[in-house]
Amino acid sequence: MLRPAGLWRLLWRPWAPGVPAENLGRRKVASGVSIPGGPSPRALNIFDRDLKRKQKNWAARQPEPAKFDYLREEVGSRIADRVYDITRDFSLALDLGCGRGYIAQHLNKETVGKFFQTDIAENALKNSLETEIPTVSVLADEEFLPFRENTFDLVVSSLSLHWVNDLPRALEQIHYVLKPDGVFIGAMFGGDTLYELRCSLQLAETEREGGFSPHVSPFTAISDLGHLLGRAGFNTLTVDTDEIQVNYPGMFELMEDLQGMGESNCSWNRKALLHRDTMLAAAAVYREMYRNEDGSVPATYQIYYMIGWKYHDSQARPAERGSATVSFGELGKINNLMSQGKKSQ
Amino acid sequence: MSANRAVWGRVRSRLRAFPEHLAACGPEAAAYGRCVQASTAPGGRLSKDLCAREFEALRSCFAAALTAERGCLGHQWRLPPPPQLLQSPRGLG
Repeated sequence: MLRPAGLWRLLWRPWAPGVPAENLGRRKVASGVSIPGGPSPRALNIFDRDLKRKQKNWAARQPEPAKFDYLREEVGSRIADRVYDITRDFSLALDLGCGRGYIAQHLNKETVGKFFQTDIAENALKNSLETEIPTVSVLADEEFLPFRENTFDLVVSSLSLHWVNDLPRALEQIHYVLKPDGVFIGAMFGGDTLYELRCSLQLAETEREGGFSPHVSPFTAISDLGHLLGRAGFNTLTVDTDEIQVNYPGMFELMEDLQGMGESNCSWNRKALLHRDTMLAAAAVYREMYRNEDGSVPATYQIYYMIGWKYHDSQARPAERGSATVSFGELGKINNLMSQGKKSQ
Repeated sequence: MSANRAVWGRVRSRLRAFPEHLAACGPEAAAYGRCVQASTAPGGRLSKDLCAREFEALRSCFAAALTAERGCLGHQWRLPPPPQLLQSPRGLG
């Protein structure tokens, strides 16, 4: 994948004033202590949340909403797998940015007693999928959760945190509403998502118009994600990444699907117009640079899955320094050591 | 979108026809793509209108495909203009 960094700086011409170039492609992690309930210092305002709500409402009112659900269904089922991996039952669970409820349909009544589903788009909540768990639908923004402290045993979030403006604060709010020994399982889009589309549009816009403006929103880097979860107070973090590649007939079909999913661009610094010439050029570049053997073009979705726990005394802690009884050098004789330990017990 | 549903619907239906017209112009699109891709090689530099010739070939092929489909020349995609008008920042259409 081409990333001529020098070339970017040379040709960068911001279409909307006031957007520093270093903010693109990477979120800044705000430093300093932040109070739950107050905005983080240097919080960014990148996305127009009102427009995102309208886009999601529009997408949910489509005649065939299930046509664009394939990605969310897949990620929802993988999150449900991770919930099943935890050998525990949760009496109260929360789904942030649930869409039509893609996680709840895979879970059963024994694992989750009651499910709260929240989303900013009410049309999505109205058309939610069938599930056997009793659910309560709440219209809420991921950054302003209307729940008390220590309420939920489980919080899940599938593919909605990448539209949140103040991600540190959202994670702190999730930590706040979790009970001690509660767990948060989330999935977010990662840095390499849609890189083919991003590159094709940049190249075509540069060649056709002399400069380019961002059309794919900035994603969190995986190292930042670990830091954010740690700062929000989560313990025992697990972050892993997965890449899903979907093949499309061409760039226009990809863009139509993204709009149908409700994933259209809503950044404040988006350009309002994409010229037909540029679209045609970008489609030609996309096909030539990235096509598969059978003529289709791939689109990469990189998903970060994260699991974090709220602190509780019963959780395993790192051992005290100097409390070791065997050394790593004896690792080869571990079978003997273990059987000796069992005999002595 | 709700206020201009008719306009939006028309524009959308035209946009939906783009992929098949683009499929009819495979070689021209491939030539343009190759030209842009070549400029991303080390030592290359992508500037405005570097591949203007290939893009004009692609656009005329596209306009011809539109004409063949509609039977009349759509006012959006005219045949290529005289060279000096290419400098206009708005583009054509």
